[in-house]
Amino acid sequence: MDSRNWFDRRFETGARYMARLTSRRSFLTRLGTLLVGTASIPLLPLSRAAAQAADAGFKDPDIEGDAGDPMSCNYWRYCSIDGFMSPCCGGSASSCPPGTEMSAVTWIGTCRNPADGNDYLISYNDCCGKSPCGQCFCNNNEDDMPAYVTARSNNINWCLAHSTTAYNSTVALVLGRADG
Amino acid sequence: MTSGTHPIRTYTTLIGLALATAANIGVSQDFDSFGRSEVLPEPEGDWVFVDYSLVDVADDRFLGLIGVAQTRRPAAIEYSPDGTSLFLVETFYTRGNRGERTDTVTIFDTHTLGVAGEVVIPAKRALLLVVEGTLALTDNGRFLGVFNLTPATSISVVDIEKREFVGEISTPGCSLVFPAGELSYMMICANGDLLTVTLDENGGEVSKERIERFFDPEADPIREPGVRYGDDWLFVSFDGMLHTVDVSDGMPRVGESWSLLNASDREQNWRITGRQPLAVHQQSGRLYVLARQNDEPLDDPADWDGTEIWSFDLATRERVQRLEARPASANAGGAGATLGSTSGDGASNILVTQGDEPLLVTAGDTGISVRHPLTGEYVHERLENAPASGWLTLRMP
Repeated sequence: MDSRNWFDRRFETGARYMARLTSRRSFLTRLGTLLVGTASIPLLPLSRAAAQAADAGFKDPDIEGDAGDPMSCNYWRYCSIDGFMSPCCGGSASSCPPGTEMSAVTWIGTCRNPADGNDYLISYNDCCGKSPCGQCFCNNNEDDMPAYVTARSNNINWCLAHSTTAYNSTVALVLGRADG
Repeated sequence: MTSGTHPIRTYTTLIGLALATAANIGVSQDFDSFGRSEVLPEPEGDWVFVDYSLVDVADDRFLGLIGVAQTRRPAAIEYSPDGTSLFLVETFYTRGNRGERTDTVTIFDTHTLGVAGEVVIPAKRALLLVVEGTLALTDNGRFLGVFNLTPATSISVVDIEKREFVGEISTPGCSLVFPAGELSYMMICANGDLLTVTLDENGGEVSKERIERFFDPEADPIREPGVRYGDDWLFVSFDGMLHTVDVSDGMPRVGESWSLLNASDREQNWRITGRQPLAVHQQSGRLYVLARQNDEPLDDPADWDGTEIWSFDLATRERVQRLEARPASANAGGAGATLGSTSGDGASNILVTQGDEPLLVTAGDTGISVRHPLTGEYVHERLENAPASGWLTLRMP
């Protein structure tokens, strides 16, 4: 298999759903502008610790079918994912597989939770340090932006701030309400 | 069955050997010398790199492979002005995919495709799957700019004459790097501005200047893979607008943008698509683009092959030709349906060779096609001796 292509696809798409609605677009535009505009300082879009802390407080409500199944590409959190789903690789939707490290920087999407109809900010952190997992490739591309809008693009290897840029898989952390 | 050698068979073998030896006595036999490797002759105009593989697309001949350490990344290639060297950026770890990271601009000999030298640069080069905009040689052929993303954005400047790293230039908010004059680079900013970075004769930073609002990234962002037409850079937007920037005098001048899609095209939901959607034949001023129909605007046009190739006269802005894009896969699916493929129903990459008799080259997941651009007639409907697909870069004569 030509891993160039998976990698290409993996990083060419994503972070899309967030801009579907004007309000989301406006919010994330401000977020993106803030992050990119200050990029001369190595400001991380979202720290790993903050992302994990945020996710720890969120419990998925019961959702019937694929939208409630973290092993499914249709899982509600994966609306902007483009990569190998961590739960298929030894991790979970909010944790990385054994021996990999969660990326400290990431791209952000907004997904609608079908249980409550609310939009949530989702952080698609890559799991880094090992070769590609190869399981459960999921390519739900919504409103990806070109690579020059860095915080909203997954044309970028988001393991970039790590000691190794080897990409393994991706988690989807809930950071909070997008409209809250 | 016995495990020993049958005496009759041994006898027959001996006779055979004797006859063979006798036959050789009267014939002059040239024996091969050991250890010989081919060296490429001067390039022809229809040599094309498909990622790291050099292919003669006119003759359907595989010529060689650049000796990179990592073939799994698409190649962004620049050439020395004298054509004897080409440059790529590589990333190494001391323990394969872990350990200490070293980034290099690696210099390859264009005739052996082997390593001819390297310049160590800060381990910051952007690891993107976008090819265009990751590496740029100033138009005077002296300074190579490498786009860095950590996620802070900057350019590493390498003097290819002295083969040394000159320095790093911070470019906050602006990404990708394109040649834009004798001693200048152009970058695209997240807010739609263009940034011009100008160097002095030693490669040091002289100035950074912004041109505001080259495009509106919220309304209609441009795509990364620009093409050079003389002194102009051409970029296509998601919505099919062609944006032009003239970089002839060191300070980019934004030209009038115009639509590659007419009212009828828009009504029929045509989109400009493909990973490498644009190509220009310099002499004739013909622009070739990949296009497909899709009911909804595409979130990522790169994932979707063009099913047609359109040709425009850049002087009149008229579309002068439509061709069906090949090759098409029998098992075409939607983007993302199959790991490692695009939509598979057309061409994802396009390139046109230069000169009086250009060839139009398109690549898809299932192969590479070569045809005469003016007639659409195939030279090779599918190359037999080339990779199935990849980023297309002309081997500069």
